[in-house]
Amino acid sequence: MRRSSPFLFYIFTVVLAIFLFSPSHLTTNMLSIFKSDENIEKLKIVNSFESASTLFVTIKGFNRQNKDRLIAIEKKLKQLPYIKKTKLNTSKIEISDYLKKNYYLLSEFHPIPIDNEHIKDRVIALKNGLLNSFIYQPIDKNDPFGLFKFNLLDKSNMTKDGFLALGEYGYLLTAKLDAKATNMKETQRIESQLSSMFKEDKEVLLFSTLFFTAQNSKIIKNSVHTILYISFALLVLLFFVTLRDYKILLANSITLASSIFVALAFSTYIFQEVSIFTLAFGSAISSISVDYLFHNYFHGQYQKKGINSSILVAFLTTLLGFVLLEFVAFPLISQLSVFAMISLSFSYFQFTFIYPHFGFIPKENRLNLKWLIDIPKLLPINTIFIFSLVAILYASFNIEFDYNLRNLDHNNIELQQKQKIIEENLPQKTTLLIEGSTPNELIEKANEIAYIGAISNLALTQKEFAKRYKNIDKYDFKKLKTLLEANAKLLKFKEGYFSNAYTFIEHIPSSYHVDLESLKEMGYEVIEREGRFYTLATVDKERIDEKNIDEKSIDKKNIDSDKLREGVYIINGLELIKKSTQTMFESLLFYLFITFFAIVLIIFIWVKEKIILALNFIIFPIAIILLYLSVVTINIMHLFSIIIIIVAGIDYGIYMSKEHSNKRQSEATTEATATMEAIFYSLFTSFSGFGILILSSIGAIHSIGVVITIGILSILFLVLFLKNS
Amino acid sequence: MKLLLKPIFFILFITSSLFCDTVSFKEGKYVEALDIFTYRDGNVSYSDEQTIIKYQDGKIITKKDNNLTVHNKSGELLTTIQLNKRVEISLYFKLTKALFLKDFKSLEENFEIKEFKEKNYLFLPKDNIKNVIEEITLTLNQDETPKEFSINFGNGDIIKIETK
Repeated sequence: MRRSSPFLFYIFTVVLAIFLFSPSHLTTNMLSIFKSDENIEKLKIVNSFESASTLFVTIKGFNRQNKDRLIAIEKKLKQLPYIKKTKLNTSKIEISDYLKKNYYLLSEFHPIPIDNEHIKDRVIALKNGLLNSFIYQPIDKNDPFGLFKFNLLDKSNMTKDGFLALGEYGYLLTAKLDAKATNMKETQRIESQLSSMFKEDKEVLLFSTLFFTAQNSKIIKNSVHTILYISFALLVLLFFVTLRDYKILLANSITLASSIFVALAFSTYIFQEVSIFTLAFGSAISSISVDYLFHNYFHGQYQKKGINSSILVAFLTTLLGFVLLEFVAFPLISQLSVFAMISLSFSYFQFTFIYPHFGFIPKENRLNLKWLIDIPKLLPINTIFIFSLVAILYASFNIEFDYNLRNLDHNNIELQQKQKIIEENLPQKTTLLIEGSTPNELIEKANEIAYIGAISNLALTQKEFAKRYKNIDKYDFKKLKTLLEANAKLLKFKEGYFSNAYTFIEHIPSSYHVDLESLKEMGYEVIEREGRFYTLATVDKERIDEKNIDEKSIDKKNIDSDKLREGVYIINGLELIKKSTQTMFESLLFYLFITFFAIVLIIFIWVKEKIILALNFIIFPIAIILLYLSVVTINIMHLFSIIIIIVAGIDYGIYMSKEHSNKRQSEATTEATATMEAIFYSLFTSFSGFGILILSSIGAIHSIGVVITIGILSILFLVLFLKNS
Repeated sequence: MKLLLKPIFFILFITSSLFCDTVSFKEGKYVEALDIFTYRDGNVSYSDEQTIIKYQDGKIITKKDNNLTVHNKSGELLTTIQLNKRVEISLYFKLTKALFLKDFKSLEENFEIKEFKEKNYLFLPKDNIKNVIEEITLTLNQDETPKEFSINFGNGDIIKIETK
């Protein structure tokens, strides 16, 4: 190979990566890490409704001042480009053409007996009402007897004095935000602009679920930044104070950065959506590759020709692990595998083919770690092995899984309190997703569950339309009107006052067509997705439970999180994600086992009789981690971090078991010291990079830190105290 | 002395805010269906929490939250109406309150407001309220308090309120 070839290949790869990099494919959308199963699909559908991005504005207390403040806020909001539609004053009546056309069909028809006595009594009542009523009650000239009752628009108990109200809390202003949770930049811009608008006004409660995404990611980012500074400081300390080699620090930084970038660029090119978690874990795994560097460095590999076979095997074993994990059907794992394969390969390439050109050599004046090797190695290999197996077995019976992803997020108390106020005061707390293959089927299903007040009859099924039309058609309005006019004349009503009464009957349409746009206008949003139609309804959870207790066909247990009936699902975000996480856990565990056994096989072929020694470096850290996790609970981040520890463990196992092989005593001691130093620095680098995350208060980050720290300490413990043979 | 003043001020503040908006009026009603005029006197008081209308014949109408109650002279409850089920009554209350208190801000939502002569305003409905109300006129006194207003309904009825 020509001297410049590796450099050319390096430059070519980086340039290619720059071209392939698609930053828009990076997403913080939590749902993107899940396999698109039924539950996740449902959540995605619910999130795609406009109502998922509602902004709530409220001020405690019902008084004029608060009302005026909200009116002013509404005006202000309306000027913002991302505010689509506001709602505060409910007395503003905009009747759509659909309602005008179908008004009488959508109304409840209450026929009265058509005989003179009855009609006479009703006309007398009308007259008395006009003369004696304490409040002005106008006569509807079209329908003087009030046979048609249209009470669909005002069923909601969310109004007070003609204004939207949040239960007993205060007036409520809602607005639709033109943003999706998936567009982080946009969401953050909207959140920060709105929050700063009301910064001075502490009484105004401003809330949208989108704020969680916006604020938390900002807080997480800041927290990660602080940790990264500490991490960088530690690394500098390591390389300058102990290793005293700034060149290797610089080279290593460039290698890791370029490997992570190349892996990220290729991943965003391959996948439509690359989760931010892929980047986080991928970077962690990449940092593990630093052991290739240190092993070469301390063994003087950069002074001689050829490739270190132990490192090559360690690299290939790790690679094989990821090839197998690639088959896990979950996006995050397959993305992570691709990312890790690219990143590790590129790092390995640089450490093996580019670094020899610089001839790096450990400095003579570096911190003396020879005393490490003098620590008496008392721990028998087999004892540790058996202990680890027993511990894993014990832990696996005692471990408790935590599927609640909310525990991984930043604990945003301020927003949670706001959300609590909104949720507690909203009269209807449970969301239902209704699915149908046609709009008509959707309406049929909505009508089926009308008994729990899920959706009003703003839309009719064809069957219901036919029934209503028939009822109106067979009623003798002509006779009714004749009797009405005759009695009105006798009771001295103005001549011709009722001439227009019930003439609308002739204009009632004989066919019916549901208008999805109008339904949307009235708050019933219908969306179409892959040929299916969906709408949302909110109901009182207690009413669902109450009504369904009698229905023996429905298993009460299923009601909490599943189907209410065919095509009607109760949406509980946390529950649905929990279910998917559960499936993901199970699948991941299965593939982890397969990967583990494949790795064991390779190690066995390579190290043969020293297999137990090498395996200890994987199963002992896992055992200690699992023992810890059996005391707390295990979440998905823990599980991913265990993969990182396995990846690191394989390498150290291979290096440690290859010591002493066919070497003279003096050579063996030098080798052992070099390996010890390489492992010590690798572990320290990994800890500085990712163990430090233990300091974070954010669930997900802390979980990664805790597992990696325990893993690193366990490996270090083995390096220091485990008998080599 | 200072200690005593505080609660007194507090009580004064509370009572004044409760009864600050009491207006006596004469209500005239033209009923087109029967082609007759009726009159009655009363007074109305508004606070943040409730609206109370007392008519000379002893009937008391109280609107609080979404409920409207009517009591007779002897305090007996005659009827209770849930306003979220009777949009038209709710609207009527909202309108008269806004006109009595000259609250143009809340009227702007539903009406286009024109000052056609000094201290004379015309309110033309913007949205579908125009199916029920044709127009409203309002005349103010020199001190800018409402002198009288009339609501012309689509069915020909007219309600005219004169303040006293």
